[in-house]
Amino acid sequence: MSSWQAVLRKDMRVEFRTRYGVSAVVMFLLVTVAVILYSTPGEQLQPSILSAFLWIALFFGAMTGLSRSFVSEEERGTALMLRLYANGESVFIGKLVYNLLLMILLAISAVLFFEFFFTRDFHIRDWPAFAVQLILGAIGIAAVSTILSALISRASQKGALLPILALPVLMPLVIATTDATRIALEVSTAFQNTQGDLLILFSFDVAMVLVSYVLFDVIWRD
Amino acid sequence: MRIFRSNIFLFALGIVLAVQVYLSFEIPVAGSFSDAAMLSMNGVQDVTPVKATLLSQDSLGAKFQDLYGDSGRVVETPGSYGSYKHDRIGDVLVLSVKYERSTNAFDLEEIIRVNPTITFPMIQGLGELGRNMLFHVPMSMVAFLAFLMGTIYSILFLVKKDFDYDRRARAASAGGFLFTALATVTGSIWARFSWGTFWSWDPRETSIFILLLIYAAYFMLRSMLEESEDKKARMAAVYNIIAFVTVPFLMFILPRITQSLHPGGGGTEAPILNLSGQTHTDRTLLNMYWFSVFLFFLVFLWMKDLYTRVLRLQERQAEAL
Amino acid sequence: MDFLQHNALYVVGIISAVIWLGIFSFMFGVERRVRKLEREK
Repeated sequence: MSSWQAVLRKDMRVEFRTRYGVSAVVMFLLVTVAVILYSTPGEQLQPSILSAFLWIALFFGAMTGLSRSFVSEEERGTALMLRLYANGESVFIGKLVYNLLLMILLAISAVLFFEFFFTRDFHIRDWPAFAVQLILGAIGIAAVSTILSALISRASQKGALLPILALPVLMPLVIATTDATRIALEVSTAFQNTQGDLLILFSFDVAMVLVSYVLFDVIWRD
Repeated sequence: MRIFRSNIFLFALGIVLAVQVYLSFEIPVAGSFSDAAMLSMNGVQDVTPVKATLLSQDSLGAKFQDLYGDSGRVVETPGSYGSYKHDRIGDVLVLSVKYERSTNAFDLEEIIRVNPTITFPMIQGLGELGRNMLFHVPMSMVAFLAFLMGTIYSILFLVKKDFDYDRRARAASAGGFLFTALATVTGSIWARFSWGTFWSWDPRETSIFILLLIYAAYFMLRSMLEESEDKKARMAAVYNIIAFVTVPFLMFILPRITQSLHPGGGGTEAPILNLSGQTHTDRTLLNMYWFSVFLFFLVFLWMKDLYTRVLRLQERQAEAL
Repeated sequence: MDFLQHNALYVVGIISAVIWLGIFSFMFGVERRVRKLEREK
């Protein structure tokens, strides 16, 4: 099997053994939803609010779950082994795909939680548009998280740094996705109204994936 | 950048800058009589400066010919002309007129300027605030060019591994950061006069704030990493490139798509950079705008050059120890 | 306050002039020091 798939499988196996990433993410989602539920008893939640909550949950869930991709390698001392056995390209693709899968899992769980706990107010009226912007958002968050967590893996305060760096950089993406989600929750003809947002998401993703792919080697090589 | 070593050049630069500031505030803003009527009918302002030629005058009033728009519209202003007598027929005057809705007539308030060399046009909804076009917008454009330069230097650094490029990247990005901050300040002053508050988290204001955060992180990154100087510089360069990917989105794309009060947002047409390719601004103002961009860019280049030299000196000192 | 509102234009103008002057003189000061240090080499 090719290198990146090996990297991917390794990460998935490790995750399966410990389930740190997944459990952290699920706990985070539950807490977020609980807080929202407790603070808005009986109130009707507008699509704009729900959209914001969803993406707050997704963003910080991503920070919790995706930050460990390189930091854990450094902590456990396996980084050197990784460098010996795989080239930069495969490590990057492997980690990226892993983060993307984790992100999609996070997104689906979040949507399910929201559907379950906010049945009265959370109605996705345009499924295709919603799904597209969700996936595009996931790709962007995964790409940025991957490259930035590689960047900070050797910093002094590894954990705290990723949100600080990633939030501003991901802002264009989050702005576009919250807008698109809101529209998808409001109308069933969302595709027309979200053209701009989807275009932004698509170009942002393409740019970020390409740039991080090219730049990863710089960080990875010693 | 040897030219910045010349005191004469710097002195000249300073003088030209002072002249630019002076002109930006001295040149009067003037529109047409129809502008005055429209602004009054929209409830924006009753008294508007207007540019017109004096055709005739007598004790009963004066006749003016509009120089803009509906070319040649002749307007008579009744008796209140009184103490504002002006004798030379044919003079171009900038007048302050008050539009009376009920009679569809104009009342002369005062003569602002006689035979001005140039005037600024009355941009819709901006009026006197249009002067901001010579400060806020050029600074923002220079900031963009500065960040672009910084990223190009970062790329060059990664490719050629010459540390001087890293210094230049830091200098250029610092200049970009400063000009973004200046643009934010001038923008908030403009906001105070235009919308009432200095800061309202309008989408345009928010995205510029995020931009400042992104580059603030760039400057702090080096101190947060535990690596060799060489590695730190490369990481910073990587971050700079990633940061620049967001710049077109934050500066140009997002504020035009979202609902914003800033010109260009939510359906309004941006005066200079817009999709139709045509500028919605008068020639005079446009020329002065580009001149301001050029001028501020020179100041930025000096800034960048200076900071680069400072960094070189710092490293030379560190080596000497 | 009223004075400020009537002459706002000139106030803003003077403030911008002062700010530019400040930036300029600061940079010029740095320029002089940097030149001196560069010559010491």
